[in-house]
Amino acid sequence: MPRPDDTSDDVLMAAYARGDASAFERLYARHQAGLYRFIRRLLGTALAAQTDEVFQDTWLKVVHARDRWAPQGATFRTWLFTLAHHRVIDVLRRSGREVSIDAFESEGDEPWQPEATAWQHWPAPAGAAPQGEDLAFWRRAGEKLLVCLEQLPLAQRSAFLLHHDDGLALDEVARALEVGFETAKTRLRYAMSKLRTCMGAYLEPLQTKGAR
Amino acid sequence: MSDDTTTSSGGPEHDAWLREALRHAPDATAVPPISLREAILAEARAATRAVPRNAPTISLADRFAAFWSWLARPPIAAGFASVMAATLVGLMWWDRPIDEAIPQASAPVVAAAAPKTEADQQSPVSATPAPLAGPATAAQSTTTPAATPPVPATATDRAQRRAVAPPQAAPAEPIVALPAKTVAVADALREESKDAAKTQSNAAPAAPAAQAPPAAPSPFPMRDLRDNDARAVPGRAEPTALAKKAEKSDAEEKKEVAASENRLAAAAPATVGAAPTGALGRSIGASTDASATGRFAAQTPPIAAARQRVAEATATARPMAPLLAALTSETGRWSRPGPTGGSAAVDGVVQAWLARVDAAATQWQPLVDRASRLDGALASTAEASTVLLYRDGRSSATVRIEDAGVFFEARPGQAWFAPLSPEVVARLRATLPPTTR
Repeated sequence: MPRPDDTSDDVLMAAYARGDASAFERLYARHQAGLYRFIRRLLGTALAAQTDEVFQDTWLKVVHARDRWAPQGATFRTWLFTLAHHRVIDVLRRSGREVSIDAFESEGDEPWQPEATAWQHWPAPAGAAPQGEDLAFWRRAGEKLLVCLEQLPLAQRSAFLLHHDDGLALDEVARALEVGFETAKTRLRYAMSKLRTCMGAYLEPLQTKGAR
Repeated sequence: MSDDTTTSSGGPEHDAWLREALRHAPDATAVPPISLREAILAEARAATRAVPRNAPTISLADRFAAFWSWLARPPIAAGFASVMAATLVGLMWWDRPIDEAIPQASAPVVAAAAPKTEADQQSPVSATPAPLAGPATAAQSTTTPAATPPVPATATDRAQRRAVAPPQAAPAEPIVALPAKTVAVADALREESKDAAKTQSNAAPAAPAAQAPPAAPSPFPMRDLRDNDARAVPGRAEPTALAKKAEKSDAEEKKEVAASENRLAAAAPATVGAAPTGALGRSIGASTDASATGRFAAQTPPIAAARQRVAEATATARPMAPLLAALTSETGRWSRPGPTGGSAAVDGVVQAWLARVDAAATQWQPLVDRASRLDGALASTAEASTVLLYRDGRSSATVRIEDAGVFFEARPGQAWFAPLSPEVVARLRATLPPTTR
């Protein structure tokens, strides 16, 4: 059984900065899927065609900035997603879409709370591998979630994706988005409230049908 | 589903249901295309290979910058500039003889030759002392050994010295060399070296001076020589029109020099040493001018040149030259004791004899204890033959042939002695002009 690669990202990046190309290959293998999904979901279906371009540009930035890279408190993963986030903002602005980083942040002290009754009919998260109808349910939920994500502002969308999909902690989310911790937390809460409302309204008929 | 499951997975900011839905989204398994992956990895590998490839270029630039900064240091820059200057000077002197750049400690004083032709100046070999029958050549290159401290000489003088014969060759036949020396002194007196070059084209074949009849001697035919190489034309003492014109043209240029020299002459008019000083200075200057090119002569300031000439005259190895020149130029003012107690003119016979003495004496030595020497000489009058010369009726010079040599005194306070061989002493005594006591 192959031994899992336990070398940290920072060590690999330092090795690559010294000229070790294999270190970069290992970094690429680790983060290619998550970064690709992050970029694709930030861009949305309208700009999905530019996912490859942003993905490539992000990695090339890593290549060209290898000599100047230093951990400085942030992990390689955080830095990688920061680069991608910047590149996505450039693409969105270039496409004419308005990018409001401060969206919904001035709506009030408390984020909008969805109606809790809709969630009560959802199946519990299976964790490993749902089977049967549960799998079908979560796949439809996933499709709906992508639609709901596109309705979120970029700031909330990126905070939600970094936290829920890529597993970054809140402080890392704040560092990746180059905002304060509380700002990142607020953005995440707004995103979750909207997504719950969106997802609950969509899934309720399924729950009702399934309950029959 | 309960409320706690909504936030149970990771706190209030983490929704397990949303995360599960996100994990089952259609793009959850999306991966970049293989071609994109290969392109990115190729770029990453190329970047790592470019590092050592660019290293030599950067290193070369750094090396050049380091060298430049090292060269910019003041000591290094000064040394480099010195080397460059030395190289430039070396290139400038590349084709020149090395002895021209080295000051010679002791250089024989060359008796100024008569105006040289271009061929003579360009071909120093032709200035080599000629045989006895070649007075023209001898006149060009008579030398006198340097018994006094060396006189500063120009590069051209040194070049001529290299061309002439050793000093020991000159006194071999003083009688034959006499015309050459007298011609040189007389010519130098006229201070017309520049004009002499102009008159070279008029040079006529020179007659052997040794054949000049002693009855009508002209030991100082300087003006004749200046005009048309009249070394073979004795008796002509008057300057030609060309010479007068040349003098007139140079008069303004050396007016100040002449004035100072005249003052010197006026200060001691009764002495031979003082009176012909200006003439001597001019003679030496003319000698230098004649031997040097006109270019160098023209560059010398008049006052400085005059001072240098006076200094050279003082230190010259031919103390009798001013006297001979003065006798030629001021014949009427000179006299000597007559046979009956009166005065007699200094005729050509006396001048020729003095010229022979001057030619025979090649190793003049200034006498410090002149008084004792003079007293001793007077005490042994029977063994000495003395020629007294008066200028304007006042005793101005004494030439005495002694057993060991010749004593010459130009009053006041200037005396020289030159050793002579017994044969020469006997010859000079035999030809001593009458009325000499």
